Amino acid sequence: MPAVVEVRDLVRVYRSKRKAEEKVALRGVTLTVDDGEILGLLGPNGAGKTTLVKILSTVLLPTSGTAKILDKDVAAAPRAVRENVGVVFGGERGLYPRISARQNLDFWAALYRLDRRTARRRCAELLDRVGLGDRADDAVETFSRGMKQRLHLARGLIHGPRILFFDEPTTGMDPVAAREFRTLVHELRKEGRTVFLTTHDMAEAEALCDRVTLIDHGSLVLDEPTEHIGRYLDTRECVDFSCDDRALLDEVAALPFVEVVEARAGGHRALVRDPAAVAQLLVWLIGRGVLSARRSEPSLEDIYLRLVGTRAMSV
Amino acid sequence: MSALNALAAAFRLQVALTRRSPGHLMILLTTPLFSVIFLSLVTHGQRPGLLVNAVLAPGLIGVWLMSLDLAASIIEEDRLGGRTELLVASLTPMSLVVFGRISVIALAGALTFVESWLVAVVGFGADIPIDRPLVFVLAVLATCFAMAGTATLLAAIFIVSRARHVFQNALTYPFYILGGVLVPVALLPGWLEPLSRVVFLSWSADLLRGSMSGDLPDPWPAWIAATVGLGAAALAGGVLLINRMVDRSRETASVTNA
Amino acid sequence: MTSSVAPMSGWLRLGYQSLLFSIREMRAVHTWRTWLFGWVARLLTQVTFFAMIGRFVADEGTMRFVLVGNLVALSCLESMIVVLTMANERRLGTLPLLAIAPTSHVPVYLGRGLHWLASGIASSLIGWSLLPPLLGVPLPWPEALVAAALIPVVGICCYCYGCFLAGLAVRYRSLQVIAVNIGYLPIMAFCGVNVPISFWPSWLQPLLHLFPLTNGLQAIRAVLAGGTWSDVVRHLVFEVLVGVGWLALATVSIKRVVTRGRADGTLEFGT
Repeated sequence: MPAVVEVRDLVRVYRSKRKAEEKVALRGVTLTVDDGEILGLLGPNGAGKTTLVKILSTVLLPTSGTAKILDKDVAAAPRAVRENVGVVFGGERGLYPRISARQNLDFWAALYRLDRRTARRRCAELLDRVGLGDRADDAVETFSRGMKQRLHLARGLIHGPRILFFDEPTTGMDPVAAREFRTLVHELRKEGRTVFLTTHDMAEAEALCDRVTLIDHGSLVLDEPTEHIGRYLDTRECVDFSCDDRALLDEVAALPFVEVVEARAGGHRALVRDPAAVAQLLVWLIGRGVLSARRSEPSLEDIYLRLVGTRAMSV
Repeated sequence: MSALNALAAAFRLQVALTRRSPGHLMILLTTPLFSVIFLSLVTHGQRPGLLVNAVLAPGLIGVWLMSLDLAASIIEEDRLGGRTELLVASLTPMSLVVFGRISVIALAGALTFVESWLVAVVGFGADIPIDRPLVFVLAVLATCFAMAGTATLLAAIFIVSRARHVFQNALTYPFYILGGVLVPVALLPGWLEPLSRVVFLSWSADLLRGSMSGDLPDPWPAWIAATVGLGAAALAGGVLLINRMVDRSRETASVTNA
Repeated sequence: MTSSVAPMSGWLRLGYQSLLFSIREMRAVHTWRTWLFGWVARLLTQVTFFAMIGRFVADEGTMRFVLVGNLVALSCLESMIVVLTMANERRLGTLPLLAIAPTSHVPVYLGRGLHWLASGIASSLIGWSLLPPLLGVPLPWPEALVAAALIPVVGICCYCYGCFLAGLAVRYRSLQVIAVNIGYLPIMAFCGVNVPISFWPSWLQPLLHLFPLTNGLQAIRAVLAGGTWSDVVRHLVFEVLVGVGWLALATVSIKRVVTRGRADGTLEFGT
């Protein structure tokens, strides 16, 4: 499938006027997104995810390198890019809180050059689609976080763009709202749209994306189809516990269903081969008085360590 | 066509916003007090023929203050509200949105003329008919347009300026004097007159007074043209400055200079 | 253990502390340059604007009348800004902490805007020396000097009135925005600043004497006109009494912020 987003050696440096300091947010990032794909960009805070999204949505200029959307350069032809791109930055900001959802959408529709009739129809359709139809005329400040995010999505879709950029869309949402939001994103793919999504939530990346890229300190660490990452994202593999007894630790490591025991800040982590073994291990540990034993989820750091350890760094 | 549509949308947005947060309309509460001050001065003075000046001055000050109030905060509030980036990413220039929104307040400011007139008639029993109503209406519209254009320029200057407080302070009474809001510019010291002719208020004040009293400047269309022209020039400056500000923000990732 | 500090000196100490805070705040906002060339210049332009109207509608005598009134009114204008600073104090959320301290919150709040009072008196005096000769209507000498000494009295009385308004505005948030303007504009309109009080309907005049600045300005004008000492002192005493009255009301008003706040649970941050 043809690439709709092409990023080559993208660099972005922030210079602080006062302190004459430089911060390199992106260090020569190269990636592509194919038509109809959902790409997830994972990374911790400050990794450069938001900077990349801002450059691709023409809000920010790159310091060097190129970024093209549907073969149009984001720096040289921003208007052409904006026609095909929808942004869903989300969060509490980005809306006019005192006026209604419909009034908000109506405004943006006009800014995206929709005529009044089309705008009115499109606004009504979108509000229904994101489940805000019966709250369309209520002030946005009365909305929950999840509702605001859905309104952001409606806003991003107002001009029917082929490509959508989401920046941490489910941050701060309760699980139910987040799940509903992901359903909406799935529907976008069925419509043939391409989605570029940043997140620091692994489960979300796994649930939504065809491909996952990891970014850290401005560089891409990994670029893999999700099912490959999935192997390492099995959340049932880890058991954390605290124990000072050397002999007990050796016993745990020697158990047949335990792969390895690693020291961690504040305790130890046992990795098991088989998801079913987690329960076994928990029972074993608790039976020996290690009451702090609990199942845990791998952190991004674990994935990095895992992935960087088993594969060569690729960009 | 879509530009007009966007302008209208910005207009509608500001109407909706002002209805929910009428803080911008506070000037409507203070205008009658200005009217009382000016009318009492004229009535107590020895030249009662100056009632027209006293009635129009609060209106001009009102339009100016209301627009200034919005201009000082409009871009900053969008920045704090996280909307600036979305505006940059849209297909409409931010300057158009700013102008459209400020126009609402400039027009609302025209209500202060009505208020002032009511204070004069009801409170002071004054009889002040409008001699040339059509010219008067044109003059008010020209004033509002020029005000919106000037406020758009000011909105841009506010956001890029580092000495905001000082700047904001200078924008009231010095401009009322230079603009001949009550005392006509013809009576200002000679060296000030060229400066005052750059301020659209001076043209519009003469025009409004003339259309009320019947003593119009000649030819009055030239005065309309001057008012509108200065407003358009200010608008052009504002558009350029806002566009530059947006371009800079894309390079440096910050909207202000601070 | 009983406190060895008498309540009054406790209040004075608190007020003084508050004053120190206020001065520091002023320094954070203004350097002397921005204060003089930004703020004071703007105020003097305002006075000039009105003075010019005085000459335009009548003659130089009226111009002098309006000029004197507006210069004195500057101390009133700036005193009203205490409404905003007091509201700010509330917004900072210190009220619950003050309320449970063994001392009263009243002197803290009263002291909050003292730097504006000082600024107002200073601006007034600067204008007093600069504008009359600049505008061609110099004031009689040495009466101008004696009259200038009365400006701080007027300023203080206006400040007490401002504190009363601030006490209301702190409780009713919607008043905050308009309180400053609604505080000083009516005084500018009706209290003899631009036209003498005799201009207004006879039923209104006694009421005007209950507001700050009215009597003090009359005292100042009496001095400039070479009036008798008894005239001047009479007006001055009235002004001081009016000021004390507003101070008492301000104290009650500010106290009620806490008592009301405790009763209906609004003692928290100024929302």
